[in-house]
Amino acid sequence: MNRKILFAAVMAAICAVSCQKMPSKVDADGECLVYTAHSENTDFSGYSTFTIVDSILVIGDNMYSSYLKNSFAAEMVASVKSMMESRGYEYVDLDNKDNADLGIQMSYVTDTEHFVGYVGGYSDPWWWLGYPGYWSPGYWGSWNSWYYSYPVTYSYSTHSLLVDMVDLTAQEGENESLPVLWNCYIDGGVSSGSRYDAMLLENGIEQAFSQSGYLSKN
Amino acid sequence: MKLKNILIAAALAAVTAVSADAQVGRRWYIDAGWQFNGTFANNFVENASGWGAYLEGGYWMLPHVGVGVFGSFNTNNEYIPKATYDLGNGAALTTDMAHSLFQIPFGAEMRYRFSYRVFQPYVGAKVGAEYSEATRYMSTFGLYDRSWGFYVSPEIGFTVHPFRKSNFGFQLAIYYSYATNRHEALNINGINNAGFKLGLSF
Repeated sequence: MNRKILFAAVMAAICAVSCQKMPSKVDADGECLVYTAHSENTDFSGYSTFTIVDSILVIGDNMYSSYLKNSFAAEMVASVKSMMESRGYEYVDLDNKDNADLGIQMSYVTDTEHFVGYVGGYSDPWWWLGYPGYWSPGYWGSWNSWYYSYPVTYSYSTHSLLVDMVDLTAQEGENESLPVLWNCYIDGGVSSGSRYDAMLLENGIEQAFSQSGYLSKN
Repeated sequence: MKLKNILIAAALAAVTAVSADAQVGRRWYIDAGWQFNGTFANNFVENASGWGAYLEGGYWMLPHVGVGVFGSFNTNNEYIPKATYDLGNGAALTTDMAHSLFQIPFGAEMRYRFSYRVFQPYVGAKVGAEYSEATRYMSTFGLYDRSWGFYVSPEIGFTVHPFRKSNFGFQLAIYYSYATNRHEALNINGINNAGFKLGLSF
């Protein structure tokens, strides 16, 4: 009798735990989650020009860097470029990047195997070392490394878009680091690479600038 | 002599009561069914949901007084439209989200029924523990926190047993409950519930 009661209690408990109701995805608006962060010590009106890498780094499941340079990448790059120009910054093409005050690099996460999941505050500003193929500061100039000059807290998921803005006016040198002044993370669970997904990410870029009112030349 | 008569009369009354109880059906009871639960007075989920169920059973120690055990579960979800949140330190987040609060209280109950005929109104009280899981769903993320707390719940309701040769019947009750569970990360400090339950009674 006791065994039957125990069995019934265990079954009831299992039933209760398995009956948790997940929120309906139908209710969601389908838009991307947009996270932005910036250095509060930076006066963004002090910069005049910017440039942006015309390819998107693909963070995948291998240990090497690979870049996306197709119509999808072109749309994302054009979207960021347009938003920067709307904020009063003058575009400088990559061939003249030495004349740019700000540099922008974009990454697209297709796999999180080599990428960190969570970082909080200043505890680990070198989180990107978890991915050996991440952007090199040497691309922008003669900096030894680069770092986030403010707390960053987020968790990555696949098919998310990252945008980093670095300060190209920072002191260069073998012992100098290139600071990131602003970054954004756009996630919407896109997966098919369809035209609709691109539109969602473009909306996300627009939202990123919308919630970053300080990012303006004027 | 007078005291002796009183004691004898009291003993006879007690025996009569027990004898009467033997005529009203089983000494044990089992109730189970659907539970409609509303959460309120918190900053996380404030709505009502029918995604729940309950199971309780006990023994009539006296004709009117029963003790037993109970368990139930409920999920309450609330959609939060898109908004931009200032996270401090120069960070901001824009997203819509869904809040979900899942509760499993269980423990002991005591019930007092006013009648043991076809219609049996009762009042009851439950005490025990509650396991709760609060989750904030955002895009492809879910931030969750689990907690245990103390649970207490007064209840009023009735069971109806319309069949002459069976204890089978129906139950309807309303309740309030409070659990001390805290989910500090999600700004929950204590969980208030109120609702009703509709089920079968055996």
